[in-house]
Amino acid sequence: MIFELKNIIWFFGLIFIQIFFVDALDFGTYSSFFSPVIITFFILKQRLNTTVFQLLIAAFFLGIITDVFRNTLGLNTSILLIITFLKPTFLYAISSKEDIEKDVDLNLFNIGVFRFLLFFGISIFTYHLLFFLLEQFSFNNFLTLLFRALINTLSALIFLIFLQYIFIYKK
Amino acid sequence: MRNIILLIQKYRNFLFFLFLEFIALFFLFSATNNYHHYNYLSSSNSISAGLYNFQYRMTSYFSLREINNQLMVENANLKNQVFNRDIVVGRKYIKHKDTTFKKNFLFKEVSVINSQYKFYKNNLIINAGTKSGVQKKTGLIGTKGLLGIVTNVSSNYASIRPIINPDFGLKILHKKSNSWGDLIWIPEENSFNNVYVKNIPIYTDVKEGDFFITSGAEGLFPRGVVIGRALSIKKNIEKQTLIIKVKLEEDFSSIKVGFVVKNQFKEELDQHLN
Repeated sequence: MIFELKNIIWFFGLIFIQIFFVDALDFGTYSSFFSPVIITFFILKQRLNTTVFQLLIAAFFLGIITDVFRNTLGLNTSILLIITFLKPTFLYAISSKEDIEKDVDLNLFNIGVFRFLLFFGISIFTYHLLFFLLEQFSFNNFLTLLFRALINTLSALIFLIFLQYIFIYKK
Repeated sequence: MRNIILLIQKYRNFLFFLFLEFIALFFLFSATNNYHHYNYLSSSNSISAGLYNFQYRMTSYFSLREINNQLMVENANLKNQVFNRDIVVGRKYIKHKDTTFKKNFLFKEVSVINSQYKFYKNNLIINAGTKSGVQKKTGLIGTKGLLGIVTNVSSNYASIRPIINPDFGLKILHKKSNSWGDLIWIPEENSFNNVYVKNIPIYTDVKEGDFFITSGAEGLFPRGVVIGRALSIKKNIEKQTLIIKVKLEEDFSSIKVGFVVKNQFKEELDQHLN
């Protein structure tokens, strides 16, 4: 079930970390290259037996709340919905259907480092690429945009690995 | 009929996705193209701005010394201006405590509780709204220079479109020669501490380090608020204009205080502008 307490805590926790920690980080002159979005983790980590209907609703509200805080109404929401819809495509592109159990959370420890990096990497990279394209609404400076998407994907992955080691890791 | 229902059942996830996506895109395009934003769905609404305010109250203690220094430097500058005011000789009349002169601009001190500077369309939030008399389309200046324009007001908070937003546009002046130019921030080329000034004629004598100031023409800001200094100058031969990169005086990564500018004669000026 997506509406259980643990998930609700993750939902608001991720928004909180996104808005008040990740967005508030200062990298000096290069700040504009570091604006990773980590809220995708909530959608990507959900079990495989969660229905698409529930995932879409969760994605919509996750996106809208983040957008209200960042003052980019509709931007995160629309991309997050696309990623939610494409999640199975990404997952089955890197592994066969039998490889992953249907009732476990898709995190670093359950699906393995290699598959985590591939699956989350591809999804988050797509997210950032579409996000920057829609934000800019033109193909100007496409190489810079690709570079930004890549940097943000890497930093988001590093954040997520840290997060999982802090909050999920059990011996 | 049965087939249609079966079809809908088969593709219900996709249809639901399309429905939500349509809502999101509708929000996106109507919010950016419409001047009247969705008041409750922007970051200056009471819940999100309240949370930002909480964060500001938690973190501002760490930069109190910095804020204090900024204000002291500004105070010293103002004292210099007040006590060393030159008397202009040769004008037709001198005004002195005359009741026929009204104050043109009023300033209200505010705290900047959230400042974005690394995104494409950046926004600031200040802790004053309609209750404090802040209105849409009024200017905001900082302790060192220009900050932005108020775009959205709720009862206790307001959001600001800063210079470092591609939608921001203002006519500004080159201080030495009084030439007019356009202020443009291009997110792909500028970082948060520099902007472009374009459309200044090629024959204007602009040197590195020259000041750029507000013109006061639109009535948003008083004339002479500093924007920044020229960093590098390029020539655009086809258009016969200069492209000047200007380093901003304000550091958008660390603004804490600002002043909302209220023009008493804005309505009167607007009649002539439109």
